[in-house]
Amino acid sequence: MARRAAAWEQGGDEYDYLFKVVLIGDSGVGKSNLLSRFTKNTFSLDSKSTIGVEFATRTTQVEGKTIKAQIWDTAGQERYRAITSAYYRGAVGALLVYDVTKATTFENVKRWLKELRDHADANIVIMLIGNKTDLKHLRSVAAEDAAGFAEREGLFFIETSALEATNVDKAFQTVLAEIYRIVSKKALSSSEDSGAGVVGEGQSIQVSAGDPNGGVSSRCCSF
Amino acid sequence: MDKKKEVNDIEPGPDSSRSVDRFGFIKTEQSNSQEGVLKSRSTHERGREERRIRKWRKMIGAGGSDWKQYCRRNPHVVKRRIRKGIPDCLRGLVWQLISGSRDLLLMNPGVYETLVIYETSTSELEIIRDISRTFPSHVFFQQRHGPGQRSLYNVLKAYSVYDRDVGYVQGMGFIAGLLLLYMSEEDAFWLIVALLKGAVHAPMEGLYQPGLPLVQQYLFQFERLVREHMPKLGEHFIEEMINPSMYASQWFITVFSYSFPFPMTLRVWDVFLYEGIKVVFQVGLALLRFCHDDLVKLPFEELLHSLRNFPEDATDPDKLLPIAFSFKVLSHLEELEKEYRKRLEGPNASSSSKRLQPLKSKSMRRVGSQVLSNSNVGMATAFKAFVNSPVGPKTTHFWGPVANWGFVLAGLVDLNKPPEMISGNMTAAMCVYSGLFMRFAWMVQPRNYLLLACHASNETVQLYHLSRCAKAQGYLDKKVPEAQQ
Repeated sequence: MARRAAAWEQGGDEYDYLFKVVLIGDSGVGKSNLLSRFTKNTFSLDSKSTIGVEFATRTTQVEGKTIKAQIWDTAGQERYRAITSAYYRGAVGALLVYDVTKATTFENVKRWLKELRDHADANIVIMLIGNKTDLKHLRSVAAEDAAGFAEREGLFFIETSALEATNVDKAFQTVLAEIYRIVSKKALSSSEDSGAGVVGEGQSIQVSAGDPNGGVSSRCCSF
Repeated sequence: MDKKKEVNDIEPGPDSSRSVDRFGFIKTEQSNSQEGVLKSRSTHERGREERRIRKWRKMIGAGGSDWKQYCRRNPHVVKRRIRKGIPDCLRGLVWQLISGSRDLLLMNPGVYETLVIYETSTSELEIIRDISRTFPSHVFFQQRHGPGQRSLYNVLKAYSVYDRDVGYVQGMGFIAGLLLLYMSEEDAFWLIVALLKGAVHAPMEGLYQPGLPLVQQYLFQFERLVREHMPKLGEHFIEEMINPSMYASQWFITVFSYSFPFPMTLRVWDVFLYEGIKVVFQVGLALLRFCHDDLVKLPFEELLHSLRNFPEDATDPDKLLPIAFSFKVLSHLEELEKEYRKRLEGPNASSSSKRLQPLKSKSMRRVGSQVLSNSNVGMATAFKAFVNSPVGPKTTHFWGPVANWGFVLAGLVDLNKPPEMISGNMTAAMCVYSGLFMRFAWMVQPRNYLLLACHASNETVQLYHLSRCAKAQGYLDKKVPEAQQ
């Protein structure tokens, strides 16, 4: 159940909502650098490939509310799905990243969507991200194609450059704002007709401001 | 905590100063200070270091010729010395000797070259994508298309062809990279084969199978070990919903070569190659034990951060490893493995067990194909393991007992000879002799079952002869005449 509670305070860090978000997509599309750009405003040309999962947070404002994004960055290689897919559960947002200079990473987006639909909540907010727009001369996926695909699949879409810090904040902010919109709407509807909790319950977006662990039930993976 | 955070935030950018530490990693401010400490210590320790190198040289002999014999004779000395750390100048050679990869190399001349030059792999693009993301802060691997990156590519490609079921898995690059800093491409390739397919033992066998089932098993085992050895921390992890996949999967997948200080990685690898995967559990537990009192206080986020960024103290091998070896985990790991398998196969088994089913058949196929395609390696391993074992036919511990079966045979032949011919004294001596040897065979490390069986048989035969002798001398018949009277 989503509900608004008093600001949670923990070690001087206050927020109204805690949203769990996952970063997925093929290996080498720039997931880790998108994360470090968003959470630390850093970019590293010689970063290591991600083994398993990485984790970072950032607190930001959406419509006057303080939102804490808890972001799980996953290894992109197929072999790691068994480990990483456990992290989809309980996520309320997903950033599905491809590389605009590598057509295969865009073709694989369909498979990633299937992964999400198999393992994640049905109402997860998904943002399709075409990264590495700074490599203009190497582009092999047209923005229009991706935008068309996103529209058909009901995804948000944006192109970013983690290196130039283009649209990175916007990408995350859009996802967080949409999650917030759904959550607050749900809170509203459930308060309007308290009897029909079925709708609210069926929508399993798990956000809780009172308990920082409430929104990340998938932390306890079933290994 | 804050101080630690600051240190960890420093990123070694490509344009930072080009000076490197003694392992070839580009220096950060952090490692500068460490280097200072090393220098002030080094004059004091240089003499000791030189003595150690001399001892090691004597132990392995020229080009490793004496190694096997020394290992058989003094396995405890070898183990103790490896735990103290292999001298850096001998590390490459010793790693190959411990893992048995040297033998694989000698048994398969030209195979590596063929794999590199003539074969193509479906993983080539995947490998290329990760090449520049493997030890990017090391001078050897930094130059684009430089010798380091080319070697790394060759080794990984060759392995992905050699073992097509495993192919290439992210994380292998760090292992190959680590090895390439100490040996040639071909040596590194065969060492990876030894790790994953087995020569002396196969400490990483099955680790990279599709679905990473072993990693999942290891994480389960690790979680339980934490709860057992550090109940308070285990409880805290449950409360904060921390599970080992959040911090420890890369410990197992890369054996601490991914994100730990290099001196620690090397020392862990020294021991890992000799003692096997249990070392990863021990070192993992030691890291948690070292930081235990801090960890139990931290909430989720800080906790996770600390589990991915251990303080410099905790990763000092001289402090960490003694703690690691104090954990006795081997028998417990076996129990936990059984428990894990039972869970997977239980009635409530979910998709995870389904995942494992095709794996099993796949791994069977893998073994089959290995025998077919690399028969000299595949068939050799099992036989070689016996031949080279510390009680194998290359040792006196094998031929000694074999010769002793002569006693048993002689005893059996004498069964039908008249009891008057039996020397009571000699037979009694034989009984005592075999009794002593049974005890010896049982107590000696490794336990010598062949010798034990031989002397148990001899004891039986000799006791029978002794009883015949006693009967003939009338010792046992005392009661019979009384009864007749």
